[in-house]
Amino acid sequence: MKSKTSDKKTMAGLFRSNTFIGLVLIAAMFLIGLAINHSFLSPKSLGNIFTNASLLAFASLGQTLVVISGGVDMSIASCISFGAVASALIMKGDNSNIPRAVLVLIITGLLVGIINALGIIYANIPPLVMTLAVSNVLNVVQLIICNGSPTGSPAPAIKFLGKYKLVSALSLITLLLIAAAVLVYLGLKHNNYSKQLYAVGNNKNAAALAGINVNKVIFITYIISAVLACLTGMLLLGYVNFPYINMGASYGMLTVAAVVIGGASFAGGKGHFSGTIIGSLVLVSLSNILVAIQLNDAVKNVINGLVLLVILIFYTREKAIRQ
Amino acid sequence: MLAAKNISKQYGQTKALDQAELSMKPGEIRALLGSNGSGKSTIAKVLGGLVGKNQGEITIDGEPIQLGSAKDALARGIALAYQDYSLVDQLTVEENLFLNPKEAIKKGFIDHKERSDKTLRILEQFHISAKPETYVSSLDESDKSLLEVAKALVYKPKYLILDEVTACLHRDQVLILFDILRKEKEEGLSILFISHRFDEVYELCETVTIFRNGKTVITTDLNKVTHDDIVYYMTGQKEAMKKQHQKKCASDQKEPLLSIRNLGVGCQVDDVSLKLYPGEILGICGLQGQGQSEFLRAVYGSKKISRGSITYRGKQLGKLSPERSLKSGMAFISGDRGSEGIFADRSIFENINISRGALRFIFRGIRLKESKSKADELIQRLNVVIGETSDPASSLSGGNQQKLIFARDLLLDLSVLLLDDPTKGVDVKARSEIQEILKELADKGMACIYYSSDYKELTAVADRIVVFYEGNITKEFCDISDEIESDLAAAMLGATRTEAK
Amino acid sequence: MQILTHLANKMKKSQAFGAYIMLVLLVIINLLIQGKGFANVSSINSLFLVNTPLILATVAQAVMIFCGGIDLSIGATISVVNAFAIVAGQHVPVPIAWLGAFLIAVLLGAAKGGIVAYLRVPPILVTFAISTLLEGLALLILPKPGGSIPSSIYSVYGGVFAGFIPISALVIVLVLIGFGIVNRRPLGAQIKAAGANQRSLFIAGVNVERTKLKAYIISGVITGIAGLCLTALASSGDPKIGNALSLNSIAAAILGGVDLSGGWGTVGGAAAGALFLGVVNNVIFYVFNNVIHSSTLMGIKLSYLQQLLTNIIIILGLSSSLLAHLKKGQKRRKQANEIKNVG
Repeated sequence: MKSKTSDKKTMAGLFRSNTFIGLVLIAAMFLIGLAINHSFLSPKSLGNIFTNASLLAFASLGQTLVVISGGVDMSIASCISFGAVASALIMKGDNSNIPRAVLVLIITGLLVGIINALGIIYANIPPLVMTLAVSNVLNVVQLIICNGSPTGSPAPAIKFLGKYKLVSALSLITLLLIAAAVLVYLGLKHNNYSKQLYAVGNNKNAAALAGINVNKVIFITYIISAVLACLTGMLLLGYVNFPYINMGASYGMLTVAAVVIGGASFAGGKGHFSGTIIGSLVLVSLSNILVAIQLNDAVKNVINGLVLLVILIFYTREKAIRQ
Repeated sequence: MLAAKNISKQYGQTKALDQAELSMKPGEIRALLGSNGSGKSTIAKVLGGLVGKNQGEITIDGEPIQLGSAKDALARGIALAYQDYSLVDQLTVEENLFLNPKEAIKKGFIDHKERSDKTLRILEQFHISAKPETYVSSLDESDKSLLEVAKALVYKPKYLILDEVTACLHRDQVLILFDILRKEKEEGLSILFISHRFDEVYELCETVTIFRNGKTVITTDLNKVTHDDIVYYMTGQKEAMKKQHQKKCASDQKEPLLSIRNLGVGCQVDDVSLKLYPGEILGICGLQGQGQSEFLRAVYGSKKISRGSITYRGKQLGKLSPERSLKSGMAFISGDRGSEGIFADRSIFENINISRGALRFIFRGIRLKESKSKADELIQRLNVVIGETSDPASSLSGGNQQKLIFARDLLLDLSVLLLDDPTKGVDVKARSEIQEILKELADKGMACIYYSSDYKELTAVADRIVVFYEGNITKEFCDISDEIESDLAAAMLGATRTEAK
Repeated sequence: MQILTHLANKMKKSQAFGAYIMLVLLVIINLLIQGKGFANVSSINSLFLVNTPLILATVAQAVMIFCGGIDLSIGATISVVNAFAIVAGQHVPVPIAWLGAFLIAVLLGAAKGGIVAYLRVPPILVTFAISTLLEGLALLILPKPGGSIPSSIYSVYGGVFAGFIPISALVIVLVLIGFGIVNRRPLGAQIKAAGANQRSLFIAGVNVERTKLKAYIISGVITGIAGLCLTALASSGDPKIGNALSLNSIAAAILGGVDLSGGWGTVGGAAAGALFLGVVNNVIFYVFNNVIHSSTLMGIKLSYLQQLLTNIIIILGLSSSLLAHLKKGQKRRKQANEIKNVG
């Protein structure tokens, strides 16, 4: 008996795939941007888009994993802010302080991830709510460690990481992202954790019956997300060169949007980092267009909210009571 | 008269109903019989407005009607009492009965006194041990079942459909319920009684409709069919199975691998004790819903044990979990592959390897070549028909999906395999292949507890058979031969259960 | 000993009893700490003045949680109400401006309800997106904090009735009575059924979508009142004024015995939970300002410590459902949670 070929292999499947839609959106954004501003696709402008998209993608890597597991992590933004402020404080422009900064960031990420997972698993707090609450706490901690006014600066090595451009259009950050994407692909493709993560997201019941320790998978996922976000904060610091309060604030909602555009589903079990990268590109292009039109922050917020709302309405509807 | 003709309903690839027919006449109590997956719950939900049909016509007194929601059904006089209850646990008994009140309302406001009185009368009538202000969550299962029926009657329906409502009732509650139903029937109510309990069916009903594989097999008077006929209609003709397997009775082995004492699980498993010896296939025979499913899961560790103990390899088991069971060589295969076995979106390869991976260090890389060759080997051995190992598991047929789950467990070092109706909904060829696998494994020393809703299959595969009825083991058959089949059928229907309950 | 077990049993069964006990205990502790400083009309009035917006927001949140929803945009909605009331108040007579602001809240409630009930998008995610949208909208209406309100409004809101009952507390009582009227109609139990087990509500022949929409509209009304109270309290506009209320109202509702999986809890309990949070903040403020006689503690600015403490208490409040459902209720709710709560 012949088995069905999977949807992806047919032409119709290709057109419906998120990757395709994402690429179409990027092309559309680029065209609109070009129409508004003739130098929108210049190497310098492209480089800016790629770099910012890469930063968003780094921030969204953890989010991708969390969403695959069936949850969401809203503490990423505060982890980024904390990471930037804390690493500036510790590094004080000196390369020899880098290891210490990294260690502090990792430990913080560990704690944040553990607390998130504890609340979600044992207190039954919905992931979005728990991670938001933890995010608030972390934001205050950020204020406390620098007493309200961040000081310090990135070490030269980090500054180099953040600022160096190979060519106008390809910054070191962009190259780092490409390297990360390859690493993630290779590393996770045949890794036990990745299989268990997708299994838990796809069918939690079957996963538990198949012997997977579902709680362990959830803990690990939230920890990875928080640690990666903190480290992204350090990278962001290198890019921006000086710390300020709540640097990561805008990333919160954007990571969610990037992951959804990239094909992840809030029901869990679906999503890839490659999709998230495309989603990041779409969002940053959109953002740059909005900047080109010279819209203020408030309008940007409204548009971001609308975009997310529309995405949600199309991608995350639940089953009707009557089948 | 309510008549449903030519009703078809498809869920994705599965045909739940295939041109099925059913009718209900006023003043008649009809039984609807069929095994799980036969479509009887689905047709009930279609008539109740909970599920939409793809095809077919439903008429009342010849006039075609649309049942687009439960509201429509209620407006037409059709009320249902559901197997999994349609009660709201967090509300009180009174609130549940009057959730959509047509009475006890004054100018839009609830008349609490009248409502309370009416509730008290209903509670009394059904002998439900609760007060109107008791929260449904604190009722036990039997009271909930009675309340479910009472709730349906509050709507003063013309057609009442009862789906497995007696599963948790004690005998005396059944008698009270049947009294009430008979009185309603005298007043013209048409009742459809869906149940697995044959003795109750014979006690209450006059006519019977039997479903199999989504089709209506027969509709006739109950006094015109025997027990055997019914089971035949429900399960269908089977090919004679080859009996090559060595039959051994448990008595020549001394050390049981698994020893279960007085196990109780919720209200479904009462007091079960049994011993399992290496190399034997212990069959569980019984109609669905007699507690065997909960029993197997409790032994595996995925369901909580209420009472009793389990000793495995001489050691009494403490905290049970699927992970621990798998690590010590005990696996579980569910017949409900969709929600409990298969990861539909994941590849065939991943589905096979998932349990092996679950027992290992979480960040360990998968040794591709070794895993692939082992997976291919198993796919060959089990004759799983696939396209590529990278295809999603959803591309396989039911039987092949089930074999996939076998492959998953065969990758591990197994001593005990617990099976909950794994051949349910599986085609004949795949079925016999699965049975061969089990016999092979038993010959190599593995022990199995195998529940099948098809008792004829058990006689072909098992060394010993125990019969589950209402949460207990009521009979054990040690010497398997063709002749015991009618005894099995009788035992399944409760023929040897003790009188008072 | 018997009294304690009797109390413990009542707490497990009742939908709000625990919240009231906690509140009473806390008030007693506060009295012990602050003494006369707390137990006078002016103090109590100020307690209610400041906390009424949170209490009302929590009640509105509770109604949405009853029907199976949750609203992360309630804070942003209040910000929009505030911004609109202030800005419109500069162009049209204040009563009309405030009525308009109130209607906006009701309309937003209907919109949220429509999306959640009819489009079946998970409430957590959709209201999160809406909160971003509304935060931006508030900023558009009122880019910078400012504006003023007629002093008559503040003196009414901040006033006292019959010598000792704060007007703001009266507002809360009126809202609770209003919802009590809803509860005396079938709609009350139907809203809870929509959250606890919408399938059962459907089977009972009730229109589930319309029930949820009604719940969201009721919430919108209460949110509008909360926004107006907050405007009266602040006497000015601030586009970010309400944003913290979203998370706080959820934590307060949980503290008040409302079950996030739907169908359980009372608005009175929710109000008690919010008041509990208010008193906790009151104690913290008192300790930080009157007991610790410096502006830093261990080198950390007191205002930061206060914020930290408040936020940690929010997390504890969210986790308080853990205490309430430690017995058999939890497993069932956990399963319901897993199915319902996306994100």
